[in-house]
Amino acid sequence: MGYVAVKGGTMAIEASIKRLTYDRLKGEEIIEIQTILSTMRSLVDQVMSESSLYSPFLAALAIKQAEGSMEEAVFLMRAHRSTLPRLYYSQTVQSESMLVERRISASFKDIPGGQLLGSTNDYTHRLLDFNLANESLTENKEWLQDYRESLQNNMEASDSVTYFPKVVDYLRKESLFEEYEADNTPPDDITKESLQFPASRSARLQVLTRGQTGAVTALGYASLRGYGQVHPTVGEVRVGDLPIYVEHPNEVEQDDEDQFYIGDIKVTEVESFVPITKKNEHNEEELEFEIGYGVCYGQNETKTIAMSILDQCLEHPEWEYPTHDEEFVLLHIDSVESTGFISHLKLPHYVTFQSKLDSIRQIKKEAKKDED
Amino acid sequence: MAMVQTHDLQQVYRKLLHSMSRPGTISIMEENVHQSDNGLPCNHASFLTMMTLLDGEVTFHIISENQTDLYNKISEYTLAKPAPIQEADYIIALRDVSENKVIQAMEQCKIGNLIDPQLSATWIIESETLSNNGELLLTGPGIKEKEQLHTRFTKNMWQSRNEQTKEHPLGVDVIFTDDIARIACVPRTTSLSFSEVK
Repeated sequence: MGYVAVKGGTMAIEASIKRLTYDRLKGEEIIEIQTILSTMRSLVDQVMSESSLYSPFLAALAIKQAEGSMEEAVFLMRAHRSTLPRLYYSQTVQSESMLVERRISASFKDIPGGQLLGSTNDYTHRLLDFNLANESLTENKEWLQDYRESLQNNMEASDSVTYFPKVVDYLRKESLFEEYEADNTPPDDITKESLQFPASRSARLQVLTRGQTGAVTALGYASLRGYGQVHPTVGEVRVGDLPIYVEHPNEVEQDDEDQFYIGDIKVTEVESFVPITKKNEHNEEELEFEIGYGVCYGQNETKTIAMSILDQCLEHPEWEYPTHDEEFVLLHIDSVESTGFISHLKLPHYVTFQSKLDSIRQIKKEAKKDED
Repeated sequence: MAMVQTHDLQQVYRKLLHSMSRPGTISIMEENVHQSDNGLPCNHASFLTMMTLLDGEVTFHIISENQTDLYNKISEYTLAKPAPIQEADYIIALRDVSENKVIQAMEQCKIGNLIDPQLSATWIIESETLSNNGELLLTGPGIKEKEQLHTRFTKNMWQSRNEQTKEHPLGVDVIFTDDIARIACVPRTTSLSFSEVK
């Protein structure tokens, strides 16, 4: 049976949309985009990450329009993303060039370059701060001034930029991790071609990084709890800004020096160390480390760690574990796909349901006849 | 040429769609166009069609006797990348090109595969004249009974086009442009025959 497009209820639909506007306006308060940008950092980051469109302003606008609904905001951003022309492709970014704001390792205390806690909720008491109910701008300004002064007094200015080395490089030097050749095949683009199975690693990482935060976290957690085979140690979590460059689109002779800097993006990057057993040439089992990789727009640490677990799971397909099955993981973690499919159930299914009712009635009638 | 890009190209797109869905129907892209208006060595309608269809995601190839700098201009305007005939998504045959060259290229261009028939070439071919009374009879989807079309090409070119489209859905779609900014299309679904006497 095919679907038949029907039109109806236009006036009711228009009234419903009006009601939606009424609900957004009735409180008679306006939230400025700037307010969302400066106070809802995590929400903006999550929306950008799930919609795979890096634009804090548009994310804040989507949050405002969606009245804070994550799924709606992500849907709006994805829809907008699909209308944008693709003018340039950025050059490969080396994440060592990140201007790091936060960088920790759970594997070693004394990592080269040191641990940099940065800003995080990790060490706070999870107690509601009732003072925030009546915050004062002047007090905030005073606090900011004090903070900036103490920063200036405690920091030495430097002319050079220091980059943090990767924790894994330190282990590679000790030959604890295998060195791989750089794979320079152009990545698949899952927004241009639909996902095919078995998926390439580039396609898998793209689906994971734009996955719904809750879904990625839940599946990563499931893997840890025994519905998977991966239990990593976090080698490194780093949050910071990555500079993005593009090449001149038409010039034939390209030189790295001639690339154009087009801006920074803030990302969270995770490298997890996962012990696995491999057979060596004498057919003996040996313990080795592999890396699970996660990267997300904005500061999204839980999601990125979960992504690194799932990346490692999908590198080793195992039929007994759902989190090692790429179709199971990749086809269900996308926000627009999952929320879209669930909410389509609200659309009229009058005919399909009527036909199901008919068959049940028929069966019951026949059963009754048999009893008689 | 003053052009409000997004708005005007949307009109061009509507006209392309109109002509593509009604094979043989001639659409006027822009009234009162003089050939030299765009400062490019191609028809104004070809230029508008390229501006509408080409972007950084596609490749193109120009067949011409002596117009190599058009490559740079089209790349700069649209960000599309030049490619050999065998790989190009769009193939543009300018008006100075002989029929034989078009036939040769037609034999080499890509026609898609059965899984992805859309990975085929779209042709933009310049013809000095376009009219609806000619030797070529078009039938197929989008044509009520039959449509006539006259271009600068003879049976030979059409035979090589038929050769490329014989295994549906594989094939090429062709857009003709003329000197006075008009277009007519022959998509791969159209069947061609020739009326004997003209």
